[in-house]
Amino acid sequence: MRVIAYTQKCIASGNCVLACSDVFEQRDSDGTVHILNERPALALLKKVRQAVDLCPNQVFTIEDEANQSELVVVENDQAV
Amino acid sequence: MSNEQGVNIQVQDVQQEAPLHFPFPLADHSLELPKEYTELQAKCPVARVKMPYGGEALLLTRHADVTKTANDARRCGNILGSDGDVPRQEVASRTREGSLFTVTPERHNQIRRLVTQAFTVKHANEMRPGVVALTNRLIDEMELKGQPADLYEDYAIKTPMAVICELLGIPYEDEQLFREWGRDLLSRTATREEQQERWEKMVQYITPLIEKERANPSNSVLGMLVKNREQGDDVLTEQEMLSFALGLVAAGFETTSTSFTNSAFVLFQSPDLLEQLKARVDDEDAMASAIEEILRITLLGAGGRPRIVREEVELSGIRVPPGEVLMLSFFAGNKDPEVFPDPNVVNFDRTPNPILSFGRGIHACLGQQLARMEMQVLWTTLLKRLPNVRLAVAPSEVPWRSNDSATIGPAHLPVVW
Repeated sequence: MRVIAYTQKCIASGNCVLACSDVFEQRDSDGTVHILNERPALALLKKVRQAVDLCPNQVFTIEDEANQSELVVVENDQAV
Repeated sequence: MSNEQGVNIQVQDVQQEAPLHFPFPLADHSLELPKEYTELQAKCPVARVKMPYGGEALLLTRHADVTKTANDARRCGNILGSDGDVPRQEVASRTREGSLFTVTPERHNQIRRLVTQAFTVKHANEMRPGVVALTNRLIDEMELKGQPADLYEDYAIKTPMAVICELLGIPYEDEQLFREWGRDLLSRTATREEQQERWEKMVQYITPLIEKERANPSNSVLGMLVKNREQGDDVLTEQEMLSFALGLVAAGFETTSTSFTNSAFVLFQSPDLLEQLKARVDDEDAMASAIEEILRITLLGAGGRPRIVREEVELSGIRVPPGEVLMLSFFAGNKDPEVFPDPNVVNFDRTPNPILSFGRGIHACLGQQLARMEMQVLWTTLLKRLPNVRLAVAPSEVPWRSNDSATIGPAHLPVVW
């Protein structure tokens, strides 16, 4: 599963940090999402998924969801 | 079979003979979500309702529809001055040009990010020890004054008020004034003239504070706004700066104090839940999970949040055309069984718990991490210090707020311990 964080959409609500602080943090400058670990342990898949679902502004998109043998989380700063 | 040329208004009418009147009344001294919401959620998720000052709107009660609408600022925007006299919950429209609610989504994000560093999870946690100390001092004072105490006046309002004053860099001594602003901001009966008069008074009040920040910039949120304002209209106009700063004052204390007071009114009548909460006071994560559930079930207002359809949108399979006013019920969404199994069961370990209490989309609550932290500390300190705290009067005797306010619940909360 590949999770993409579209940082330009981010409203700095911090819900991803509450759901999974091993993978997500908020930038000091403006609180927007920063990925701490682009290849987190598979054990974190459920928590990463929760972070995606809890995001109030749907900042994340998921690709290749059926493949649960790999977990990649990346940032993308393009406008959406 | 195609329908391109045909009648495209596919909005179902409510099952009732005539549209229901909105907002639905609550029972006396009750903070239960009126049953109309869950009935409509099951049978008529896009329901036509009659608005109190004329016209009709469509009430959304399902989690999926509320979320979809709040997340689609392009198709479903906030109501603007140029929309004219649209159906609403208040006597007079409270649209103000240059507010964070009326600028374009792009502009909104740009302005919001000027201050978001002050509202992160990390910053809320840095403020936590100060809030723990403050709530303990407030309990000391309640103990000194003796029983009964007013948990709203002596505890629930003082905590968020002190936090927002510190954060914004405004003097706590003027808290009575900020309360007036909060009351006016939430009034459903204020006329356009009354709103304008209040606005001018607020601007008069805050102007010298802004001058002080200009001369001697601080790290407060007001300081951040003033510093950015100096860089010109591209960053922040004068009107945007004033609107944002003044909005934060009222939003900063009213919601948190009401959430705490209303949750206390409910939990004091549920000894079992109160015991469960007491068992969590030494476990921050368990307390955080419980507070999330408390926020899910605690009603703050009887109405909804308005949006206007700009481009056709499909909700629960129903096509809604441009021009319709939508009322989003976040509290009904919090009770949607599609998302929250057994929605009426209070489960402090509910996971996941995608509550709508802080809204969704670009306008989702800016202060939500502060509010969570404050709720956690308010409940933890109270139950640690006064484990036998309870209502001093029968629930039906608790003084209630007047119903011209958008928020509902006790005006005072007399307790003994």
